[in-house]
Amino acid sequence: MAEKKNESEEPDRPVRSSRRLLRSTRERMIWGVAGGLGDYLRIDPTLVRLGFVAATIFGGFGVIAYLVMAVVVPEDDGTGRPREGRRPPTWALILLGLAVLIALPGPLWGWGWHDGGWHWWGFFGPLWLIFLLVAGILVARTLRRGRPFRGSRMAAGGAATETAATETAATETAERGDEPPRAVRAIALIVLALAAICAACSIAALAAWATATGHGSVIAGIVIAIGVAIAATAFIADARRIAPWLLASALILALPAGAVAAADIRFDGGIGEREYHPASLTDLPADGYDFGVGQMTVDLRDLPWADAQTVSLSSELGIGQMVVSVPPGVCVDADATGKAGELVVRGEKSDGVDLDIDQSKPVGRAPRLDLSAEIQLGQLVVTDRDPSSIEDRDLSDAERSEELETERQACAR
Amino acid sequence: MKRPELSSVAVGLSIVLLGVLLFLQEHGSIDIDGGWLLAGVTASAGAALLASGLGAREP
Repeated sequence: MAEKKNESEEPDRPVRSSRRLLRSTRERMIWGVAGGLGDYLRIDPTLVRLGFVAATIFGGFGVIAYLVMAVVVPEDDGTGRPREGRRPPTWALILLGLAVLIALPGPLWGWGWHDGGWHWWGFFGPLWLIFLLVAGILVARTLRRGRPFRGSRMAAGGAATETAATETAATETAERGDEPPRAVRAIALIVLALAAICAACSIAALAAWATATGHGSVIAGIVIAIGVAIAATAFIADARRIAPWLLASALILALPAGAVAAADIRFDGGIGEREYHPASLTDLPADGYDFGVGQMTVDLRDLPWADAQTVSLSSELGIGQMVVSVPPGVCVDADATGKAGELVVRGEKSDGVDLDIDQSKPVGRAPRLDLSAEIQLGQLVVTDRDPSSIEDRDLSDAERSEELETERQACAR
Repeated sequence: MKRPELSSVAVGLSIVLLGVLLFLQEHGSIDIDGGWLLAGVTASAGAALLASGLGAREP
C-alpha cells in the first residue's frame, strides 16, 4: 500500500469537476476512493481516510464501505472522466448492498443481530444508520448518474446533446460547476465529525481500559512512538500536515490513561458476574475476592458462624456492584472505601466520591465479620438479605433502618 | 537543507515525556496524581507554545 501519489504531477494537475464522483488516480493510497471523495466533497482526502478508519473501528463498516465504493465508483481516466468499461452490473450492486445490510452487525456496540434478536438501537446505533443512509445515497447517485457517456439528460441548461460520448461527458463536467451540492457536503462533514468524535471516545475508553487492566505500558509505548513521529515531522516538510493529527491521537491516548493511572483505578480480575458461596472457612481465599467489572456476590450465610468467632475477609471490585451477605446475627465491622458511587454497610450509607466507612465496633459474643472492602466505581452493599433481592437496586430508607437495628442488636451481644 | 520546525520538535518531545511519565507510573517508579498530570500537560502545552512563538520570530 505504498503511496503512489506522484509529486511531480502536482503542478499540472487538471482541475476536474468535483460533481463527478470518481476514484482518483493521483491522490490514492489503495484504490483512490478517499482521494476521489475528497475531490468530490472539496475536503482534504486525509479527513476522508480518517473517516474510513473511524468507521472501521466501529465494527468494520469503513472497510465494507471502502470496498463497496471501490467496486461501484468508476475510476478517473486522468482527465476528470470515468474510465470506460469498468462498471459492474446493477444486480451485483443490489446483492452487495443487501449483503452489507445483513452482515453488518455492529457487535461491538450492541447493534445488529445478537442475543437471539435484532437490536436496532445499540450504542452508536444511530451513527450506523447515518452511515448506511449516506452510503445508500452515494450508491444511488452513482447508479443514477454515474453511467459514463449516457447522454445529456443530466446537463443543466440542455447545452449538451446526444453527440459523441467524449464530448458529452466533457460538457457535463463543464456545466455542472465545481461546487458539490451543499446537502451532500454537509451530510458528509457531519458524518465525518460524528465518526471522529465517536472514534476519539472509543480510543480514549480503550486507553483508559488498557491502563486500568494493567496494560498501561502499551499505551505509554504508543504515546512515546507518536511523540517521536511528531518530532520527526519537523524534519520532513511533506509530513508536517499530519503533526496535528498525531498530537490529537497522542492526547486522546495519554490523557485518559494518565487520569486512570493518577486515580489508581484497577480492573484486574475479570468481567461479568461472579457469585461465591463459601460453605466453610477453608473456602475463603487467603487473599480475598478480587473482581474487575460487573456483579460480584459473596454470600457468607452458609458459613458455620460460631459465637465469638471472627472471620476476616477482603474484597475488591473495579466497576459494578458488590453484594456481601451475612446472617442477621453476625456483627459486621467494615473498613470500606470507594472512589465514587455508594457504600451501604448494614444500613450505614456513604455516597458520592471518596467514599469511606470505617467502623470500629467492640468485640462481643456475637460472631463477627472483619471486612475490608474496596470498590472503584459502583455500589457496595453489605446486608443480611438474600443477595438476589439486592441486585441492581438501592435499599430503601426503611430497609436500611431495619438493617441498622438488626446490626445494633447483633453487635450488642 | 531547510531548518526543522522548532514547534514540532518541542511538541514531539513533550509527548515523549508524557509517555515516559506514563511508563514510569505503570512500573511503579513514580506515583503521579491528578495534580502532577495536569501540571505535566500544562507544562507540555506551554513548551510547545513557547517553541512555536520563538519559531515564528525567526526570519
